[in-house]
Amino acid sequence: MTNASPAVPASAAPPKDSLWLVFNRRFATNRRRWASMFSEDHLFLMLAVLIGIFAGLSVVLFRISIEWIQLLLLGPAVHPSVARVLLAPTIAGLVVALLVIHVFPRVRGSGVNQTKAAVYVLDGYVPFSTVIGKFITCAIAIGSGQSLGPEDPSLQIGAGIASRLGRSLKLSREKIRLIAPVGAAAGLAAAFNAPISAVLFVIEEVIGNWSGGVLGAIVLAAVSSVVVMRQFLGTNALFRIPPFRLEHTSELLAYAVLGVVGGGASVLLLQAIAFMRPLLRRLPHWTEYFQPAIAGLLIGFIGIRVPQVMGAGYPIIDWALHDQFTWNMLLLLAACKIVATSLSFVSGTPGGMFAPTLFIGAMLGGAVGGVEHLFYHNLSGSVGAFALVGMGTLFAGFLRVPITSVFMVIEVSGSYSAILPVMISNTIAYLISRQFQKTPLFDLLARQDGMVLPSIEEQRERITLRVEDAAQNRGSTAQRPDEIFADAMRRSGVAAELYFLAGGAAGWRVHRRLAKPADGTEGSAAPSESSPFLYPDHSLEEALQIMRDWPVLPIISRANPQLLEGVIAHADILKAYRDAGSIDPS
Amino acid sequence: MNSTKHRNSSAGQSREVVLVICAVLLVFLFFATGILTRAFHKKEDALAAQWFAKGNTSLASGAAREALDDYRRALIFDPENEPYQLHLAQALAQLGRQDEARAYLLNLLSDRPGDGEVNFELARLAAQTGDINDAVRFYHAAVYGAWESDPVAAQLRARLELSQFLVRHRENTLAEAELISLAANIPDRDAELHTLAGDLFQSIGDLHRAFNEYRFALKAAPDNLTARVGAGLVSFKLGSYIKAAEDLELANKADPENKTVATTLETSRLMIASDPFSAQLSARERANRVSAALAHAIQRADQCSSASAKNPNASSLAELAAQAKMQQRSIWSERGLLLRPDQNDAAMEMAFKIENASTQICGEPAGEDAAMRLIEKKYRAMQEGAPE
Repeated sequence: MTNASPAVPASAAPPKDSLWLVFNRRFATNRRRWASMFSEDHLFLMLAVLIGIFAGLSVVLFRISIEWIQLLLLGPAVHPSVARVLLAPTIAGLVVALLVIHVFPRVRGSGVNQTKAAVYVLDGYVPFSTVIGKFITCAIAIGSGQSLGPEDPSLQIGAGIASRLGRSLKLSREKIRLIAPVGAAAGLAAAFNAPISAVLFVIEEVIGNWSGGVLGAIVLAAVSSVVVMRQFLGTNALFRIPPFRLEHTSELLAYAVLGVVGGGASVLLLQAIAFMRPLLRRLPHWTEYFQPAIAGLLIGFIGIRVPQVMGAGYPIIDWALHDQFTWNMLLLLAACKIVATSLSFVSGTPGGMFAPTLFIGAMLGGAVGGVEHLFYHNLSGSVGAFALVGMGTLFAGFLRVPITSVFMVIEVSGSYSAILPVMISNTIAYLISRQFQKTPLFDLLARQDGMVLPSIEEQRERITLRVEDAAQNRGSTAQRPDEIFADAMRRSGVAAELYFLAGGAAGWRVHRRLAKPADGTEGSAAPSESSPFLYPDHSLEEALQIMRDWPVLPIISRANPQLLEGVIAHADILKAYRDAGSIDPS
Repeated sequence: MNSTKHRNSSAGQSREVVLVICAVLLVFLFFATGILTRAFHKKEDALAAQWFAKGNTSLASGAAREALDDYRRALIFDPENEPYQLHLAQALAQLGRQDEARAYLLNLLSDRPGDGEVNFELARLAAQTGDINDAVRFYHAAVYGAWESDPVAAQLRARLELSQFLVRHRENTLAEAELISLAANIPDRDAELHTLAGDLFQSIGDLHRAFNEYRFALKAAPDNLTARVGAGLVSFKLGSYIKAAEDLELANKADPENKTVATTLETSRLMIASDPFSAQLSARERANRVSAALAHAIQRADQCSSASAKNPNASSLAELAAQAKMQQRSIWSERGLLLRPDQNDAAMEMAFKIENASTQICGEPAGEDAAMRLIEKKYRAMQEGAPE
């Protein structure tokens, strides 16, 4: 290729690169540009939307699979034949047991706990086989009439998809750890058609704090999954809620009674699981092949008389919300569902507890409302209204997520009118449940499975120690600032001559001399660096971070920086922690 | 340095590959999910329609309980279907499970507050429980609400039921207002509805409007026996005995077994034949009727006092009859009355007095004596200035 070549005319253009080469070069240039524009945080947010879409699609397919299997196994009739009622859950139980033992051993247990394990133990790792396993085994189990719900598996399917995507995109370890809850929120939101409740649940039960880094991603994922789900399954809420009326505030007492009953039922269900699950797990290994089948058979026997307890039971909840049962029938349904759900769950059949909790709560609420109507004819709340409040009550008492339970009722009812009864009833149920069953459900299950996961409830209730709790002689007017400083230095055990306290326009600071003061010069005249400072309401954790290598720090008032509230030493912080007592790591 | 760059670059490249794969997978999943959900919804819709049709068949054959299960099943497959919900509520109401039916209907109402059919069903439930305020509210909402098919007939039906409900609960003022609106909107050819309106007007005592409605009904269907009987009885109550006799005669021919018609017809005929206060009577005829009435009253008094001799009032009745007999021989004779027509009223007053005393001792009269009571009623009304 030279200009001297006679074959090439002088006017001809220089030789062009091939199209592929041009494309490749441009692509590389653009990629670098995009890469510089998008940080990992941006990618994480974009990924949250992607996770939401995938989770939404998966949940749609999951729900359709359950319905289809239910149609196949139990048929379309309201009262299926006895043969179907007995055989469907039994045979499905055998199939599920085989799949769980031989193909998908990780699908056992709670999806919430597995998501928590991914966050706290497994660096965000949720095996994708769990997603497939949960999908298949739960669809068969719930579709055959086992008394379990699709929400917990949906949550785990979402978490598994998120984890898989995060690993494929080679996110940093910090982001990978946070990605499972993002997927969990998406899965749960699509299953419930309730994005707010899903976000709150994940924050309240999985993450345990309102971390800004992950909150945006969780919200994005939940919203996009719900949008996808509604695209395919319609915009209708999970339940059609009857109008709610509360004509007199004294009627709140009626809902308080529901709170007491709901709290009692929550404790009963929790203790049934706490007692029966370890008992069955202690049985020989070969019995695990038959436990889901036996549970299915027993549920079938219940289903002959009360077929409403089979499956997730959403239509039955809807009927209860529309006053379709008498109070004694509602009570029977609640009792049978408690037995059926306990059997299904403790037998190791994969599936969730959310739908059964809503079912039992609705039936119990309706029954309480029905009985109260017998005595007080003027109650304005219908039986359906009590069923609605009851759903939230058991959610608060059994799953121990008080905030989610309130918002869940508001979100599924689409109305704030029930807020007061829900708050009262849920709080009472939560307090009763906490009083009589110290360990919450998810912690209990984790411990039974041999995992020690952080208890979000305990974290929530742990008292935060603050600087004002550790400061010695805080606000003492008897001592001068230099005396307070000298005391603190003494407690810190560091040589005092290198440090001095000085006040200024910006407030009090401890200063560290960078050179020894010459004889006869005042401390402040020598070159020094000044310390940061603390406010009395800083947590001790923050205080430790701020102190770094400073032996003592001044505590100043937020209202008046010139006012020295005290001087805190490292030793004071350690003493405060010692005085607060130890925390059980489990 | 170079190796780090290379690692970052390869990570970036693999990310792009993953994102492209994700995009492809998403497109595929969207299509697959779309196809599956469409197929599933189609299956659900078919099942829902099947169960709904089964429910309708069960309900038509009177098996409301089975219909209820069928409708519920239909709603499981198509929970938002409003006609299914309405039918379920109707089945519940038929089974007497009013609270459950009401819950469904209220839910429907919150979605479609102006729906005539939903309001109508709620009104019926309220009517069953006797809740007048709710019933009136829902019936009115039904009357002024939107109906999908034949709204005029549906609105008339709603107003008719409201009127019937108000009449049953003796809310006559409210009922009259509703009935007037109803009557104004009944098509001329609807004899049955005119007859029903006539019956209701008659129940609340608005006899003139009742008569008009029966007349409308007879105009549309002259063979309508109910309207004919109604018209005859209302005419009788209004004192139009000639009209009453005309209608009742036709009714009696069509249904000779109807005792009320037969008795009222007989009384009407007696009234026509014996009423001395009828207009356009000759003086002789009037005197003749007064004299006959007095004679009949005396005869009843004689029979009554001899049959009830132990009754302490029997003697005073006999005395009254004796006084009348004395006058009957002189000025209250037929000739005397013809000569002195001013004595007609006095003679009739005596006849009424005797009849009333006889009634007190021997009970309610029949036949001619019953006619005498009616004549007295008419006479008193005339005295008070009412037109004849």
